[in-house]
Amino acid sequence: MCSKELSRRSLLKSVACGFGSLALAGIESANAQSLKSLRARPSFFPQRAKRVIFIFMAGGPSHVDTFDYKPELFSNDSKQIDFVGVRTNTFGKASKRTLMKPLWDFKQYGQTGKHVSSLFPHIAQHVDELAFIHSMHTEGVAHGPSTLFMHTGATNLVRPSMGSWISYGLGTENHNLPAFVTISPSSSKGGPRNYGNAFLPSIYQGTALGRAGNANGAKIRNVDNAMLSDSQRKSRFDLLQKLNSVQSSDYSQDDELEATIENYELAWRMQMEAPELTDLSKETKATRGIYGIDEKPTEDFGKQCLLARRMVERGVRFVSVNYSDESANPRWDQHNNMPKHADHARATDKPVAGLLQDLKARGLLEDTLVWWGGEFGRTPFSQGKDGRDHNPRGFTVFLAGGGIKPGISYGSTDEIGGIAVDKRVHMHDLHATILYAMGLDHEKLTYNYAGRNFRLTDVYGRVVKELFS
Amino acid sequence: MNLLSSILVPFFLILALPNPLWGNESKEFDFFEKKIRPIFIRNCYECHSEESKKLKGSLLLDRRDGWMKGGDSGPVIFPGDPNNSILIKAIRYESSDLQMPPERKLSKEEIADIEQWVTNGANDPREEKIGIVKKSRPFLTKGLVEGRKYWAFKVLKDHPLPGVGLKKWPVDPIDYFILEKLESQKLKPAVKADPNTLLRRIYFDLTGLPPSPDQINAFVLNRSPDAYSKLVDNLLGSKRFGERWGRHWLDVARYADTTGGGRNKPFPNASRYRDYVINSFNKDKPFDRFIIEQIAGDLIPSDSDSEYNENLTGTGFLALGPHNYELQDKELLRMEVVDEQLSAVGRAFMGITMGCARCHDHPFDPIPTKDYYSMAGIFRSTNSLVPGNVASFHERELRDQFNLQRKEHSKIMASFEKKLKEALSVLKSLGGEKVNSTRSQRSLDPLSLNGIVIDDSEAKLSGKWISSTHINGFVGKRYLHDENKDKGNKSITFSANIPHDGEYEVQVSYTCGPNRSKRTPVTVMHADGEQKIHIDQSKAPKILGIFESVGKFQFDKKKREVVQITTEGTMNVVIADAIRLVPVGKESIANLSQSNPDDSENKKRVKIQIKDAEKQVAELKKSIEDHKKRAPPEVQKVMSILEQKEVGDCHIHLRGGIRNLGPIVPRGFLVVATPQSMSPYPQIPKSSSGRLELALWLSSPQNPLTARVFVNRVWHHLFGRGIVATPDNFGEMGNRPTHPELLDYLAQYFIAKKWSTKALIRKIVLSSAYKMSSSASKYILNEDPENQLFSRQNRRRLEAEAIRDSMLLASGQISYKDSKVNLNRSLFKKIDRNKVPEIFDIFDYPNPGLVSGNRNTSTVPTQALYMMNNDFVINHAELTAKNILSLKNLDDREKIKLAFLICLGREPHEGERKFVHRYLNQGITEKISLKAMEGLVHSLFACLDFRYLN
Repeated sequence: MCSKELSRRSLLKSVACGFGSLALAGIESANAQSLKSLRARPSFFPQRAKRVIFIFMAGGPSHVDTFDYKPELFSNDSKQIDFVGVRTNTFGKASKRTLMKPLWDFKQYGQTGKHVSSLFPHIAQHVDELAFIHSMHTEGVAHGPSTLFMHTGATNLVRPSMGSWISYGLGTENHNLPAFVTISPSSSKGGPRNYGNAFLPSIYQGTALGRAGNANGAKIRNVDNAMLSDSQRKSRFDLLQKLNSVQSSDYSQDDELEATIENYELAWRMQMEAPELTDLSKETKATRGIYGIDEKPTEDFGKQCLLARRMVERGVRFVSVNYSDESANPRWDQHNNMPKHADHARATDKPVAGLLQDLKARGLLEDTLVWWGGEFGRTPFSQGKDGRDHNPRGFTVFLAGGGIKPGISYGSTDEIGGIAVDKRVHMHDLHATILYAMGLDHEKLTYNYAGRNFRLTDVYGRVVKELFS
Repeated sequence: MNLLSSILVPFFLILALPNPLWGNESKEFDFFEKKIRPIFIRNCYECHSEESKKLKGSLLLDRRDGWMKGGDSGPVIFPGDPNNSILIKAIRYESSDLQMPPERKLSKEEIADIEQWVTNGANDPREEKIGIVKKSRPFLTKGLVEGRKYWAFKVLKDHPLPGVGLKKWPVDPIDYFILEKLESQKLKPAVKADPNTLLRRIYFDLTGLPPSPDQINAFVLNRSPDAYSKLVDNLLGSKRFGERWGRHWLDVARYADTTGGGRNKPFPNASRYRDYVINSFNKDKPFDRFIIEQIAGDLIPSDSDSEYNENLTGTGFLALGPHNYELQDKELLRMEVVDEQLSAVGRAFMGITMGCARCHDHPFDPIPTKDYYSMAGIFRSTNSLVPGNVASFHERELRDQFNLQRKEHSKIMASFEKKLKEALSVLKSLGGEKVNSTRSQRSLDPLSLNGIVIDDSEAKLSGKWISSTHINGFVGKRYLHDENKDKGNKSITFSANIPHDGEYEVQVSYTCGPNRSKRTPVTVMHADGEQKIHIDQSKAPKILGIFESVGKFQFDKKKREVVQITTEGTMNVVIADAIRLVPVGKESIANLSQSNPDDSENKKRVKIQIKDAEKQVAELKKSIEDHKKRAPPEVQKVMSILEQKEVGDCHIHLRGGIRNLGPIVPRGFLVVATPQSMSPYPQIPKSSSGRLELALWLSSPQNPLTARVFVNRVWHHLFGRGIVATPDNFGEMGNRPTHPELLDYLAQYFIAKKWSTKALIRKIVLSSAYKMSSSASKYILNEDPENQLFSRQNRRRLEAEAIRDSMLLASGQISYKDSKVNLNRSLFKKIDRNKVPEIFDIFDYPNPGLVSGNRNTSTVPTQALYMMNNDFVINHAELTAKNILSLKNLDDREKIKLAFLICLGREPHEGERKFVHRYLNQGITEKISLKAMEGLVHSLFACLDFRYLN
């Protein structure tokens, strides 16, 4: 396949001939990005999901205290085990650690009888819809590397985020809104790299709405200006486009100038649509209620989840919802004081359940893939008095909707929840699987940069086909 | 298994194995067949047998010779020694690098069976030979001979000036090369650009700023034939030149002021490298010298302190990569840094991507893995990391005239401090200076306290902290508060030199008060990781009324960051003063405050002694204070690297795995880019990392890549496209040069002019080719749609910095006249890799983590939204409008003209004038109001001719 950079003009001609050939040719040259690069494109194979909502639980929620029920961890409380360190100071060194039983009781829910701890009473109501992967494992031990790995498939090197890959692969269905949005992201632990396009054309960069922990600030920027009245904005816009038309008539056949003019028209329309997108006041009380927006603990994350629904409803391709903050120990990072997990569960349980319920009620869950999870899990042994350390070697995520088989549990950790042992799913595998759900082949979705074809999964990745119905 | 093989196999094994024990063996084989073979078939054959679709790691487990010879890392089973057998380690999941089978850990019973089998000698009846299997080699690198034939690796060549028809057009050899190609396609070059267009082009290209109305008038009116060349010389001599061209290089150097990524560490001294780059272009430092300084500036001799400093500052190039210093696997981090440096050097100077060869021979370019690791050995012999739980980069001291003074000063200081310590211990032994009453005492000398005390004056600050002595009871000369402002953007980090491994109680001092934060985050970075604790600063600290304990932690013996206090998420004033680490179980803090002489008879005598001692302490303290005032200025530092204490060659890392070691390869350079004729043939002495030799090899006129790559970068910036359209990739996967002879000509000219960037630029911008219009006839557009032949100039979108700077210049916030730097200029904005300024982000500022010689130019609606609605644009439109309206002796028509000159570098066209009048007459008829003029300027800022360079 020709992998040299295509010229802009030949690219624009070739946009019409379908995605397959384009992807392999690098889709477009670096100098030729316009809205056309975001045009919706057919997938490699049938799409189970058209959109993704990723609910990021920053800091690493403990799997053994939530969804990965380990009776033997209860019965072996306070027992010593051998543990080989993964952190810098303990790397490869064996030491004794003390097991700590889960701090919350488990109950069975739904027809599937899935065990869920008392941390998540609302999500527990949906277990028959969910597919749990209990055998996750990943790269990195510290938050930064692992969070980057989860978003980009690399712990250290600058690589495009999954949302960027998907927008690159599929384009968008709504040109008045960005294709890839991240709501209230943190500026630390990877920061913008978590939604960055890296070497992909910048049009595939994620658009960040607001800052961590403040859903009220989650708005699209520059769609309004208080210094100008509506009529002033309109008359300036009219003058601008008149000037543009005079100027462009001097330069014949320049697609880029035409695109710039088109963009002003589009921006003018976005000014109308964007404020409406983030305006939650039009939602009914009942809807706000199921997300917990009118209760203090769930208000912020409830708003984020509701925003996510409004976005996928309008055709945004990839939405990240971030339960994160700006601190060195992000949200779920309880190295001591595991009881604090209860606060985080309280803040997120109802909003997530509300989102699942709302998506289902609106018929969106069928073709929206929901992914809930953190960058890693936590150790079955204790740290300090009542904390748990990071555990990249075994943890749990769940998927829902988007063609995922409902009500299953896939893979497992060992008896105490220490490391994934059966049907192991590496983060690369999860990436491959999500791309597959979107109708994309992770081995073929490549981009030629610096003389080499790159992909989200590097040279790894296995599609876990058993997860699909 | 069939009968035949069960009979035959033992027979063959008699020959194969020494000292066979017949009886046991058959039992062992039985064991193998029953237990081991099924496990292998079920779990391993998919990837490790003849039948595998892709054989992984070159390892076969479907025959005895397979595991005996082993895979890429050698034999995987040592019979009788399970603990040293890689296969056993892998199935036990002992290390995170190698866990097999990858998808499912074998059951305990299965693992035990294999262990037993290995312990008993790993008897294996499967005697097929290895040779049968076809080796799957995914890539076949071109050989050296073939590789050297590729254009970019060929030696630079003289090309005769081609003959042309249009004799009047060429004014420089460049033009002959361009014209010849055009004429061969029966095309003519575009006409010369009109003076306004050419003027705007040369101003932006050389300074990054548009010409002012005065400069436009002067140039358009100047009829002298050398007006243009004089202007070019002027602009090349302007300080703005280095700012423009320095920024181009900073794109290539992936310059930033923070690491970005996981833990976004600031680079407090990166800006010295930035300024070094700007100065290098301003003084037209020979580019070969510029290369040497950036790769080995620390290793070359210097005649003066300033030369030494300049050389050392250049090495910032290697140090400012986007590394995740918190990566816990430090050997991995080390190789990631090496890889990043190697990739950056490869792309920046050679236009070659080395990265592929980290894991396998380069699939397209003649770069074998061996060459990668021969160069990796150079960077592995370079010390780029300060170790630590969160590692760091090196900062090295610059030289100045105060070095001696500083030494002298600290010597005296040390002697004072020693005396003070003695005096204090005398005092303490007498029971004086009761530290537990310090709430009333103004401040405490850190030296008087037990444990390891680090005062705020020794800590690393980020963000604005205000120094205060308002509330009594602090350590040292002051404490700091955050003004209750800019929450989350301030921090203070304390480092300590831990004398020995052990447990320490960590304490934080602060002055309390009702307006203080109730939840101040304190992060302790200890041997096992880090932990955040919140302290309530509204309540009095419990220890000595000064310190609050945040817990006991394990620390290793070394110098490291131990505590960080931030203002994140706080609602009230945050105080930072000192911290201390008290070893647990040894000296208790009580020692400090409790000792009391009990002999009442001695009281009087002791009292006098105390008084004397106190006096001595006070005097010494005063001497120390006075001495501090005489301190010479603090030493300045730059980001840099060092030679590794032990330099040496590096193993090949099989498939990039850092613990998957192959053979050692001697340090060296890319062989295919080293002409056989090169003399002297470059070699690396045993005792050196090879960095200096690498720098010399790169900057050699005989290196086929370096000059070509750089002149192409210059051409790219002056024409909007390089002669090679992929300036960072001259390899197989990059583009071919459209004018290879011209590229060689320019490279040779550049070398002959002693690598002078200014001479090269001057030559290009004086050519007829550069001065062409960017508009072309329909015919030309049809024949040369991509402008592959340079039949015209390229219309170019201004860069983010140029767009922003143009608005600043229009509104008078920056000017040409500043003889020094004007920090408002965009390139001086701090580049936080995790938070690039909005306008930069929107207008395709390159990813500051990646070498980038070719910026994207996207066209997206967020740009339109920014120009229409952002405060910055509107505010600067207003300022500009104010300036225009304040000119008293201009009528409306002239004011409109002036607005166009300022924003677009030309007068309005007839068509534009019509619309402007219609706009201004809306509602208002008499004078142009400020709002109306602001609207006009705003629309001009947003229009095509502002955003594009014709």
